[in-house]
Amino acid sequence: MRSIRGSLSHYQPLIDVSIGRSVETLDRESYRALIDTGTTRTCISRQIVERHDLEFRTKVLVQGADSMPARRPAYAFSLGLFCITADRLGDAATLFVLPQEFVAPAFLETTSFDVLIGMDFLSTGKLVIDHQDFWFEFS
Amino acid sequence: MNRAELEREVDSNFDVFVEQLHSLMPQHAGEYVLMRNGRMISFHQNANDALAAGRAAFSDGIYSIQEVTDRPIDLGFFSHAVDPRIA
Repeated sequence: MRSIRGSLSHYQPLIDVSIGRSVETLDRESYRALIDTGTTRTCISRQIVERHDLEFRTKVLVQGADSMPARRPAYAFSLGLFCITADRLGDAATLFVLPQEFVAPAFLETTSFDVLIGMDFLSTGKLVIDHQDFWFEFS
Repeated sequence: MNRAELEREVDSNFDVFVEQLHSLMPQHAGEYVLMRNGRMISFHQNANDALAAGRAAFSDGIYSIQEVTDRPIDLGFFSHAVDPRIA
């Protein structure tokens, strides 16, 4: 797999991703995604669910602040990651399509990001965060 | 696909799933089950395979899948600090 590199923005590792109902419908429209090791499952904003009319496919139990898990709808979608690759012409963003579909709950959008990349995906690779030089890499 | 019908299907399947979860855990923990009309149709190793089986078997799109797990999803900050913001 290619590596995904980025610079930390206000201590947040953010990357650009594409979302679609299937890999065929992924496009160049990008959303901001936060790499979040505190989240066990990749999830998406409610806004993305509505914009792409994602399939409602399951209900999941999500841990709540009052320690009582709550039933939440979850949606199926495909995910692509915009990877920065260096070539002779300079850096270029190429879309790396993940082969597996995700089934994930939704959260209400924030101003900073639309997707949380959780440990279900991060545990498949190696994540390095360099706080001295403010960059991160996932490979 | 009728959205309201799908929502009823997912809800009723989930109720059945929760009732039977304890008995499913020993043999199927970590797998995904394809469900229709409150019945468990087949078990799969991952969500991809369960979704593919559902699309192949039910052209009307009325089915659901459930991960066989007794551990709730933890959304970290969104679970513990801003719960009302979870959709």
